[in-house]
Amino acid sequence: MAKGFFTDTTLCIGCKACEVACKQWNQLPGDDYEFTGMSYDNTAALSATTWRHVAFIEQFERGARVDGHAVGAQAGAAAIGEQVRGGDGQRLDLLSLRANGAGNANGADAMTLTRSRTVDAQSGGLLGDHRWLMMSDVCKHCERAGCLEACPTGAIIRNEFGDVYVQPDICNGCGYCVIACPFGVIDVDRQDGRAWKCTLCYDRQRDGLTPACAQACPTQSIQFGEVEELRDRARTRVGQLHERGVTDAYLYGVDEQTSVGDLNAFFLLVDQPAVYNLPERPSVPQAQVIPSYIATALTAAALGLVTVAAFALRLRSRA
Amino acid sequence: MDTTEQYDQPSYELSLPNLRPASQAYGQMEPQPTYYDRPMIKPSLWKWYIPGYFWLGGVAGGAAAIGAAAHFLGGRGGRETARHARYLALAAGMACPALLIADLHRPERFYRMFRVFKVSSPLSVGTWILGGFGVVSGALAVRQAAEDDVVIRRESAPGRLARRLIPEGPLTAAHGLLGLGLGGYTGALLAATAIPLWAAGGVLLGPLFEATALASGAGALGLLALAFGKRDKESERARQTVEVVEAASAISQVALVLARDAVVTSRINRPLRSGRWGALYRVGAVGGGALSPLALRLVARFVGPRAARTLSGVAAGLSLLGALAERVALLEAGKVSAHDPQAYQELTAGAPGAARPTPRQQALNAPKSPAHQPRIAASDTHPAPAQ
Repeated sequence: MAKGFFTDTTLCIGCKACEVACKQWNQLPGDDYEFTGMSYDNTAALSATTWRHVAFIEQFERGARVDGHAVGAQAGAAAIGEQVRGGDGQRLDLLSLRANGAGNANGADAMTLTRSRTVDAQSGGLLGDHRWLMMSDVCKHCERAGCLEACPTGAIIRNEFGDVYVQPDICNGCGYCVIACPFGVIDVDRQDGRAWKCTLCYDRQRDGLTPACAQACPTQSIQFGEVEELRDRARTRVGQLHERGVTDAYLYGVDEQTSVGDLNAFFLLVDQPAVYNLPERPSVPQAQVIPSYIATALTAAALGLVTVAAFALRLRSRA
Repeated sequence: MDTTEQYDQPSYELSLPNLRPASQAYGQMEPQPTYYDRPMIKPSLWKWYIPGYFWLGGVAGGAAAIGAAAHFLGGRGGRETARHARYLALAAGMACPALLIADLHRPERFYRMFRVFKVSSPLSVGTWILGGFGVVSGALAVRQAAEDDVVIRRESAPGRLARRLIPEGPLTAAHGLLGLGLGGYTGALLAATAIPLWAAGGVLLGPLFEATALASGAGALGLLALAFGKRDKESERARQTVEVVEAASAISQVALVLARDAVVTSRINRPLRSGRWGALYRVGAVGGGALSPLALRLVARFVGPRAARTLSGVAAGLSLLGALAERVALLEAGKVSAHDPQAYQELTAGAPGAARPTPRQQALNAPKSPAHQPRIAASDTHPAPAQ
């Protein structure tokens, strides 16, 4: 009966309402104003004080250049309605083409199809093949959570909603969970000294409310509910997208044979996980614990025997 | 290659997941897409206290283990070695918790570590090992002090009580075992993380740390014997036995370093192959801390006794310092490694570059195309431009 998130990235418009709602509800301090210079994402990563992070991926055809100009510059020119000569000699009105494309898809799926071809493929791709991808990242609340298994104080628990929760009154800030998270989610707040991450709005859930981010999401990109039900919904959504031609769509964190297990907060993606800064095949670090104990014990036994033998033989040689 | 097949295999890996020979083509991945080269995971927040603790804990643990063997099997000279080991364990055993507590971001809550015992967390297991080691070290040191007439008068009431009530044999055995645990668990602690440099070939880190702990513990005992030990035949014999242990540990250390290099892919191992930490690891830890003591001991066989003692002292000091270099290099290189999304992708590679189909997708017989290619044809989304 676990509760979780289904984050459908094809519906995300990158508005960051989730980030703001999360900060506001959970009273998280603001982060420094940092200009990353890497797309519209100036949040950059999840942290102890940022529990939702909207990744913003700009995909322009790599290395594509026209007349010495970067593709981005051409796209900028296109955006103000400039007429650009196509590779096959035709003059194409880019804006009208783009409008055609958007009009062709229905409703929210237009977001999926932000990858817009501005010229015909045979022409060599004047502006290339480009699109924006957005994903609201969050703690995955893994079935087998690295942070939870690593925590030496028992501060990190699985609560009654099946979510991974850090008890702030227990945590002593050892920082071991930080490096035990296979997704780089949990972090220690340097001012406060404790580890923090998404609580899946434990307090709101206890009062029967939807978590702040899902509540604030204007496009239902973030959906909250029973994980089983969300998974069904997500599978249906993938099927629909495939029927509409978005054959790249797949679920990340569902029905996958990884050692972290299914994720309580899972995603619908349309590109490789790495593009969204997610590992291809996350594994729970504690899978190494028992082999490491065994290997260490064997080494200790071997070297211990060498030590014992060294003293025993020396003693005998003296006698 | 059928990419779906890999996912059908159950991979709840308790086998050795990251022991993959670097020579396999699969280990050397093409550069993968990244999110603006941002790290995928967070680096460790540990300050210098932690490598300092790993080192001191290793020295104390290794010395305790050797001391225990010496106590039971080393005769009169061995008991002198055991005596040194007990005082050393007490001193280091007191410094270790201080270092660990200082590293906590909420040091006043250190005692929360004793709320639980979790086998899944090497940090929790280590807390209890260190706790037990500290208690045993304290008890043995008190008894030793009473016996040596140091601080506690041998024939005073506390001195008699200590000598009568503290069971030397069982505690020494426990001390040795806990010392071995203390020396090695730190490797498991690093292996059970998401940091590529530690997790890859991580199963070798525990053995490596154990070997280093014994080498550095032997080095410390060697220095103590040279400084404070008697110079009679018995004591010399014990000191030379400790040197044998040190040499065996150093050889294991070198072998484990080579084995680790063989199984960790070059991208993941990069921070230890080059750069500042690579130099500290190769030159400081392996060259200075393991190979050169071995060489010096070899040379010492062919020189006079005075020169041999000097060389022994230098070699023991190098073992001790080399262990510190190894700890620092591994921990700091781990931080570098955490910042490399390519390295983490090599660690967590599935079927490279393939989007994973769900059973639902398979049921739909979704047409698949290579992941790197744009998969939405222009004709899918845009009508052909009017002529």
